[in-house]
Amino acid sequence: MGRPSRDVRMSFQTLKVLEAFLENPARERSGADIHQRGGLASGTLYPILLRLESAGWLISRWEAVDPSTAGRPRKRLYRLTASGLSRSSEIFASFNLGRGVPA
Amino acid sequence: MNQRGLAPGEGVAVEDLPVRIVGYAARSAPAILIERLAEEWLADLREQSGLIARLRFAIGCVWAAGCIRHDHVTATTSAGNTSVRPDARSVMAARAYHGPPLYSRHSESSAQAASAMCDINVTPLIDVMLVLLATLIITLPAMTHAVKLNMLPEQATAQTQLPEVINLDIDFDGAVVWNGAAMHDPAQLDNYLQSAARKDPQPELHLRPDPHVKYDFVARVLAAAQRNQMANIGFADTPAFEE
Repeated sequence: MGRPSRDVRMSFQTLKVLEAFLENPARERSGADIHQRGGLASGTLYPILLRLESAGWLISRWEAVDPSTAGRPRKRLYRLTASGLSRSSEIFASFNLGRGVPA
Repeated sequence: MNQRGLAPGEGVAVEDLPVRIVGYAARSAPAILIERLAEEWLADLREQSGLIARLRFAIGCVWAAGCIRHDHVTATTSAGNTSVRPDARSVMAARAYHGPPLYSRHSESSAQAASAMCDINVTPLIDVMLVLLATLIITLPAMTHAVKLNMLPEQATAQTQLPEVINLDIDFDGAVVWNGAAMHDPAQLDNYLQSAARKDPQPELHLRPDPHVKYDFVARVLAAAQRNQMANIGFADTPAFEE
């Protein structure tokens, strides 16, 4: 993303979003994935995703399908950036959860 | 992408309501995010199973649009109006979680930011709730509609059973035969008639007089039947009299 990572105030819902990404940091997830996995309401989830993306923790891209061919809209896929992975791992490590801590 | 599923002429079916709500939510987001959010939310809406889940998701998108719009306004304010049309990331990054939460009571230092926090447009939420209310009002009577049928009582079905029939033959000489058994005297006939009259339901008495019997004998049998409370009396095999 090329944008310096910013501090993000950690709410419980934000932690749940980050936890979903930290399960497999290389995996791209759509909002629906996180919505179904974490049980977060869409009204909470999408502002968090946009804020995390704006802060440089997440990066997103469109799903590589042609909507006219697929007959459906494209998904927006999110994944952690390197800085987002580092910062979120630090946060979870500080909570003694220790998930996805980089070597 | 254009806003798929938001054609103005589309019918307002209950199944289409989540799509319309999502479209409405996306349109109420900041202008630079409308197309992105519309496509993203419509794609994610398809992942929801069931009308209730889709409606919940769609209503949540309305709320999300309000939050995103608020972030947008706050970020624009805190950016000091340095750019006329900032891109989405720069606008959102300007906020980047350094400020108070969305609906926090803690006011920011500037009066401008404080006014932005109070300027939450609840009109879309009210519109959505009214649409949902109208939909429920329209659909609930149809769901509870029932056709009342006046079913026949059980007694009516019981009446379809054939009643017991007593064939009472009167021979040409006045001899009376009760279901094939000859009656020796009028007293015996009275006893049979009394016992038959006490049955519930009372059997039918079919008189079958011989065409050559005197009416006097028939009248005596009729009188005995009436005297013993027989109610269902009729003449059978009457075509024989037409000869």
